[in-house]
Amino acid sequence: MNTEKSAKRVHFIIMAFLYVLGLIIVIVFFVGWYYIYGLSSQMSKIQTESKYLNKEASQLSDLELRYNKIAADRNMIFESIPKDKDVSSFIADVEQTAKKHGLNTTESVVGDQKTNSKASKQELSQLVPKGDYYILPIKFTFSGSYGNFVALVSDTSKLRRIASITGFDIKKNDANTNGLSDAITGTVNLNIFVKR
Amino acid sequence: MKEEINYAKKNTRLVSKLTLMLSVCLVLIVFFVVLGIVLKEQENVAKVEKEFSEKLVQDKSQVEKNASDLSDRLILIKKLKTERTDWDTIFKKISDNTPAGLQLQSIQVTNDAKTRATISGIALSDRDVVLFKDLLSNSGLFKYVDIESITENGKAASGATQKLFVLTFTIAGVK
Repeated sequence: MNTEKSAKRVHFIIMAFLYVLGLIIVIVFFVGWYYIYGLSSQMSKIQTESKYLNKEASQLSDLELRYNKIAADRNMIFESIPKDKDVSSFIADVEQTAKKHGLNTTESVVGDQKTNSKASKQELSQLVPKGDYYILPIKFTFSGSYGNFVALVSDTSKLRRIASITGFDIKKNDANTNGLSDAITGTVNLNIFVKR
Repeated sequence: MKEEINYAKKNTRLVSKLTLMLSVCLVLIVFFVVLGIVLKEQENVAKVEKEFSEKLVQDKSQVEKNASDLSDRLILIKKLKTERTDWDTIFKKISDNTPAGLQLQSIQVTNDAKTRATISGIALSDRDVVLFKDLLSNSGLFKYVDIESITENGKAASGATQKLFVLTFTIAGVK
């Protein structure tokens, strides 16, 4: 009778083990599936991002190639509107052009001669902010003939740096001489530009 | 006794089932672990590739910034060139419309619409000054041409009385 009881007990214990194991199998399956699914999604996301970044890098490489191809033009553009004042080289350019036209540069006045108290940096002093660039007014005074002065005004558009003439003042040196081809004193007010 | 034998048989079958299920469980665990390791390894590779691509994009993004800066400058150059006053034409118009007997003494011009341009000179007669005014008015480039003053200014070499005049005007189309 006792042997039968113990056989029954063993039977139930094994059955219980079977159920627990079945449950463990189901749990293992779902946990494993969830983990693999998560890992796979994460990997897929990384791969997509990586693919997108590679495409972007490839496009940027093309841009870099094209950018490097226009090195000469690029430098010309940077010189046209630089990021610093670099007034001395502009004045030298203007004086050289004036000399080429037989004009003598008698005065160069940089800025509007007002103290710019808002300037936070040395390189920003004298500059007038306007949108995404600064304006630096310069006044040049030349002496020479009217014809040469007109030629110089025309040549300002050929300067390396973009300059925009805002006005000029031409006066004959001697009121008693005849004709406009005589000696004059010409003042040109112009603006050069600095990129922000 | 018979009952015991039955239980023994049943238990033997159950133990076989238990062993089978245990094996399935183990196989499942091993399968998921191996798959997990493989996927994790692939994820690491993908992560490294992504980091590399990110660095590449970061390096190249400077080019994008430079290109954008270049584009901004080009737009600005175009804008500034468009806004430029055509001084050559203004000089030419003044020169072309100056009557022969008139000598210009000074020209003050600005591209500020609020500031009127001023021309002064010497004429041999009032009629020359009026002619100069009319010619400038009809040139199509200057508007509101006004005679500000005409004053006697000594005698010319020929003995005729010279007139010192001042004209003011506005340049049409100047912003």
